Amino acid sequence: METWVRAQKRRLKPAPSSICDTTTKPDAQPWDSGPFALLVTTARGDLIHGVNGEAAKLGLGSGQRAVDAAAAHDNIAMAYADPAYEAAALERLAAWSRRWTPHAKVDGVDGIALDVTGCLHLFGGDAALLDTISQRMTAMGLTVRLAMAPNHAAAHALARYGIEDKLVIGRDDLEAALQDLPVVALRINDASVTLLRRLGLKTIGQAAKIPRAALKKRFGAKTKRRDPRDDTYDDYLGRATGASDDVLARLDEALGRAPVPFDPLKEEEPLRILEGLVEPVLEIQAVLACLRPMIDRLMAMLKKREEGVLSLALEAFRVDGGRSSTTLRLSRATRETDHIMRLLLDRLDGWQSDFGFDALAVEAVEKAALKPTQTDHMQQQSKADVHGLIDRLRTRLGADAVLLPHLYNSHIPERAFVWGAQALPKRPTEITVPTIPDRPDRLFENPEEIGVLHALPEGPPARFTWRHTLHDVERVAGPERIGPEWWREKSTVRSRDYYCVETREGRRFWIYREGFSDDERGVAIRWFMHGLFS
Amino acid sequence: MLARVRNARDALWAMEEGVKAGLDVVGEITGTPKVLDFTATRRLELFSQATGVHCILVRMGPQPDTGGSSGARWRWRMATAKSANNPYNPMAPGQPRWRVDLLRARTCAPGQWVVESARDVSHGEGAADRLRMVSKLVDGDMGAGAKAPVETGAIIHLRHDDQARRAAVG
Repeated sequence: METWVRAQKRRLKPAPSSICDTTTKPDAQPWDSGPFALLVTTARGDLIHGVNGEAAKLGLGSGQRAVDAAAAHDNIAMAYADPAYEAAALERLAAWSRRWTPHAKVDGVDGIALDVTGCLHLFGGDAALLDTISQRMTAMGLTVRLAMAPNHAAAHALARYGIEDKLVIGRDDLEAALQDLPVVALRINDASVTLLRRLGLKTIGQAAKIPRAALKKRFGAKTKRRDPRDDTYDDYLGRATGASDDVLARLDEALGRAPVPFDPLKEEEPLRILEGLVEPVLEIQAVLACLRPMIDRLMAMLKKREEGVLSLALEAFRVDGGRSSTTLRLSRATRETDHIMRLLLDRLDGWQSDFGFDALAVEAVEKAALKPTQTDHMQQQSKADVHGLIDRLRTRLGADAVLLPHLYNSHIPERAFVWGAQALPKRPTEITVPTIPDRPDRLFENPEEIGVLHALPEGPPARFTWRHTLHDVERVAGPERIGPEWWREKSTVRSRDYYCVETREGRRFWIYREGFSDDERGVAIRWFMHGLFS
Repeated sequence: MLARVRNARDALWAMEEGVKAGLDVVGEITGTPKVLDFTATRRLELFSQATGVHCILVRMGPQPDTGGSSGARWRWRMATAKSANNPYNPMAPGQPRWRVDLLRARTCAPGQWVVESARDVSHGEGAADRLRMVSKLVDGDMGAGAKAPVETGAIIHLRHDDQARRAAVG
């Protein structure tokens, strides 16, 4: 026999940002004191999505218009709901509910469904199970409505529209229990509900009395799509629950005459391998020898999923109860055991095994898609292994030790590129690499101020002091004026005049003067050393 | 790709990893740390020979040790020299020039040259990675007080290298 549990959660959980607030300031929330409503934005404007107890006392409820509520009650606090967060929370709740049955799933935007067939004896029967569920969820701060019925569709209807908060309906009572529920409980769309109501069929019982052929004719599976602007709040919910306009099929499902497909949450295969060792292992080399087959297996699992590992966690459990762990981060997804083993060798260099390790665990913490790639017919691979090198350097020198240049679309010399930790992206075509030949080989990140002797008002430099050394300028090329990025910077930023100077000793520098005398952006003119030519 | 390291030991290790991975490597070490000895440089030399890549170690500092504690095949000292005359503007510097000093090499005798960049400063034409020799007769206007500044000196170790050979042999 099939038994269904239907739990409905009253949506009183606010958006995630507010959730964070509850942990820090537990006593200053609008939903703790006074009426509070969460809103969703639909084609018909903002609608109320969920309310707290005090707002419910005022007669507010899901589906009402926010402006009406605000006009009628001036003290109601409102905030926008976060549907994505709600969906994720609901999925977590469904996954957590697998403690009672292996078959659990999210049902619509506001509930979860559990197929508890064959699990009841473990929890002392149906009523006891509902009590347990109710207790656990109430302890989590949720308001739940539960219903257990012989099929999913009936449980769905009873949990949302039943009289009691906790209902157990057997196969024999099913028809009687559904008799007085509104037709909207059938998971049919709003147009069909309206049509049924116009025909005077307000409850499931009334609809069930209509001859099947007539229902079929009137409410056959139509494909006519209405204007989305006519959607109501129930449509908003209905789309997620898979509402259809086939009343007869829905009626059959609820009354147990037709099967209801049930697609439970897939259980994620944990990408973690834990292995106990026969004897405690002391030597790091032996640890690595034990790790190799484990990583091989992990890579085989990843290969099946066409994924590669981006970060790999290694845990080693010591005999004395201690635990050592490390996390490898890779610059790109990989499935190469040799590469990972080499990184681990570097990483495990200084590990203390004390009395030895007796268990090891490896886990692929972060993964990314890694499709098999086509090699050319000579099976040649590029000789230089850049990503492998980056990984090895980062493992030993630290994650921020290896930097890659990224071109940036700017004419300011120090902004024309940035050093980043990510792998080199493909160069966007709109970035043009300047072909100006006289850029210095070494550019200072922060230009250094220098004292310069020059002809007034803005002659080329004749002599300057940089790092306490006096340099006589013999030859000068320039100036090359580089204006500020006026669309980004403040209006007081001055343009720069760059000079390429050569000193008497033959050393070549790139210096600039900030501003010129009549640019109306300041009086003092400063000089800076910005780079060295070789 | 730029790797920043804390000490010379890590720098040498990183260079070695780069060479092993099949990349041309330029390393920079300031001063004369103890770990930078014959063994370390010889390792780099052998690895770069095995993988066929260039490995250049630039040593900066006030007085780089020019003793025999290096296993490099080529050892150079480079300093800037006065640039060539600019054909278009007598006030501006022209082609950059360097004074290169081959201290030791396996296959040829040491010597001193002045080289200049083959890339045209004014137009940006020509190969940036080529050097050409400068005749000593042309480079004749060295002032009396002009001395080669040793404080910017650097020794460059090169693997067997066409470019360096061209520079060295002319």
